[in-house]
Amino acid sequence: MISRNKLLYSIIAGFALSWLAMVLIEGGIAGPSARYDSTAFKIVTGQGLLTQSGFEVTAPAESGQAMVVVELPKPLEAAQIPQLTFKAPGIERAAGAGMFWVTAADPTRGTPMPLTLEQVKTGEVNLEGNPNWRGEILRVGFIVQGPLGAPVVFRELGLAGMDQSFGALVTRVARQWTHFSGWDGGAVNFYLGAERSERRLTPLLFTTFWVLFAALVYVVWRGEQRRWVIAAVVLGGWLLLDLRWQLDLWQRHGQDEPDPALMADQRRQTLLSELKERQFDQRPDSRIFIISADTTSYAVYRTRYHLGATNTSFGLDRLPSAAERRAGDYLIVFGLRDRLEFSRSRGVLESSTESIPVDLITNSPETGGIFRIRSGS
Amino acid sequence: MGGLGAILAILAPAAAAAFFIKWWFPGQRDGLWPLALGVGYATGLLAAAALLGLQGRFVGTLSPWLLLALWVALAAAMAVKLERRGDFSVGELALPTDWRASAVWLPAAVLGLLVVRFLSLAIEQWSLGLFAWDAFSTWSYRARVWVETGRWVPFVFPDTWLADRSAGAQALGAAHYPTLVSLLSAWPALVVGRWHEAMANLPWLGLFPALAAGLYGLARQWGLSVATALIGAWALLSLPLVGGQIALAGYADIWLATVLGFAFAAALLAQRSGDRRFVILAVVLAGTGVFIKAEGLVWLAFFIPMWLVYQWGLKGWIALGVIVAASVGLLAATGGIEFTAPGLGPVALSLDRVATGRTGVFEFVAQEGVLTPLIVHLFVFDTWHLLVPLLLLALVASVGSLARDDNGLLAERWQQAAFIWVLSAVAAFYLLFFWTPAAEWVRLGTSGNRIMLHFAPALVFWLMTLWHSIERRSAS
Repeated sequence: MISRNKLLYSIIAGFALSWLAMVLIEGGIAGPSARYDSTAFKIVTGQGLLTQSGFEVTAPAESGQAMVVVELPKPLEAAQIPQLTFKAPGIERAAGAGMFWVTAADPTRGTPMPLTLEQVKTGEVNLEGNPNWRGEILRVGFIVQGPLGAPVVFRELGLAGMDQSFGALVTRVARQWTHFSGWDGGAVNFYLGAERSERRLTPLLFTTFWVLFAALVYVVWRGEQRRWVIAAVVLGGWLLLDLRWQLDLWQRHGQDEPDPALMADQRRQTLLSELKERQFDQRPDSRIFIISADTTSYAVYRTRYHLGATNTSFGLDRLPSAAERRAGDYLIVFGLRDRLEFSRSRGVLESSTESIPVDLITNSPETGGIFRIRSGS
Repeated sequence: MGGLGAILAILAPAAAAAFFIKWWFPGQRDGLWPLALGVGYATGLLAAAALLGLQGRFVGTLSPWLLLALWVALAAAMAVKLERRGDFSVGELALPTDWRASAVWLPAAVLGLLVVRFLSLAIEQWSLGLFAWDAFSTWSYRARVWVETGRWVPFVFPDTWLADRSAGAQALGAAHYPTLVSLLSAWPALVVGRWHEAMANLPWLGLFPALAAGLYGLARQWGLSVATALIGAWALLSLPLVGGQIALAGYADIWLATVLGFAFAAALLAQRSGDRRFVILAVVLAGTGVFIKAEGLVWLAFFIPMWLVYQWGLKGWIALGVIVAASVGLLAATGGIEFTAPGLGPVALSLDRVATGRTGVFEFVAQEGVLTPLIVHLFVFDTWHLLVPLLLLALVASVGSLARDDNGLLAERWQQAAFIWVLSAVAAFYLLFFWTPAAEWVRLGTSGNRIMLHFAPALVFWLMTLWHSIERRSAS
């Protein structure tokens, strides 16, 4: 006989223990609050030096900008640091101010962000929800725009770790349960079921703990195995996750905001369909070469797909050689401004190794530049 | 013929195969009809695609009318046979009177969940068109070219295309991929008469009820109750990756998963019941996987240890150990062997490298940085709901039950055979992602879960057999 009360209490106990697990997970790995004093600042561009009053930036570089940076002793996860503070007297008098950060995903490039007057005044920057504030942060820096009437004195950078209160944790967990997304290229490979940056408080992890603890409490309490009860608890957890996935699916039906990439692709399809009818289908023996620095880009593949049954290349990162091309063939060129040059007056498309006489048929961001090769190539 | 033609193109071969299977398995008992409909849908459509491919290769044109007529005629002939035998007679329908009984409301609720999911995925598939990357870059791109030309246009690697413009071929980076799934897309669109994304995607949508019905029918044959079999089918179809592969139609993985899962179930049914029809079904289904994706050939190998263990029990385990040890010893002593195998081309095997003409080169080098993304994908993100923790539990419980006097969940040969199949899948997964450059698929989050998907229907069926074993043990 199943004891309904014991089952109910086990589920409640499992729920409470899951929260305990969440607290432990968060407490164990939450980004601690950190403060860096003036000795941590280093100049990147412009002039600056460490003085008794702090790290003084005295003049910008020729570009008009001065940049300082703080290298974090160990990388911190952006998701764990929702707020940043700084003390930099004098920054409010600069012609402009901004900050930047560098992540492990691309250690060579910083992500800049202008600071608002309010942020400059208060020295507080709320980064929660900023789509670029993600991944492992290696360095954080500031940009000041000259001319500087007086030095800007960088005294402190503070990284405020997440609010560790239980209420804040509940809010964060609840946010994962109600985070719904749209379809993207990865959907055929996996389903996150949480925010992309979240790897701790996901609904799956929470449900796994809940099911596990509820089942354990019940078994220990009853002192014997009740397979149907345990199966029901597992299936209950499964159903909970599945209802969430169903809600996610429902909100995808007729989403109001169309994806910009899909909109661009629809324009690409329209333009290419016209060209296919007017040009390519008239010359079925002609080849179409798609040329792009990234030969496997979305634009390359979609272009080829929209062209359907035409004799189209897979994607080349160079102009076709004389042996590969002939007059009447087409070239569809994406980007490559640094490697290819089109002389409109001479009607020639040139690279360092090839020079091809062409007629420009059309040029748009969606279709790229489309050329037809003239005779004499 | 428009959309109705496309639906006919899908239903005719599905019905012909389903009716044939039903004719082959007479009677009304234990989910035979769902089994026939589910397995028939998958095998019928794949057979239609295969015949279309043969017509293309040997005739050159891809006009679908003769084949469509053949399928309609076959379906009609089988329907007449079944009608004469009374297979369509459902007897007197007795509507349940007590909806509060769990044997009534539970199956009804699970069916309701399945219907809601199916409708959701149908809306998404219809509105998304051809959305997924490999679909528009490879699988359905080929289909589109065939539909628009009406001819069997061969596809060659880009270098070959560049070098020879007289070949009349089109360039494709994955020119070596099997053509069967592309033909699945082409088949309904050819009947429509033009490339039509929504119609080309329809076979994927039909796979949802087919996979559910097939798994349900096979589970009923195994002896599970209506409610348990339905819950198993729902568990599989509820998985977000299964839904994702149906909504974002055009990928081959869900088809490979379907035939592999059905083959596994049929193989187990054959072993437990001795029914030779299930042997044939398992061989046909597992063999079909080879023509869907290159991996299908490797997964086919799981059935070898399964068969060895089933046939000889403990001796089979020993034989397996000897074969593995001898193979390792041979490769270590000789430094590797080379031979040509039918369907694989030239094969080079050594302890640090496997190369075949068909699957490419896999060098065994310990890979780093795989475990964390793998754990995140299997236990943190919701791709699999609770399937992976449950599988871990099942594996531990299976091994742990050996401590019992009756060997528990590994007492019978078919149980050991199922277990070695699952272990083979785990081992293949481990080798692929921890010892070959395919590790990148896990790090980037591309194919890691899709490989897992290939095994998912089989693994869900295995879980159902374990549950059935536990039930029976408790009852006895």
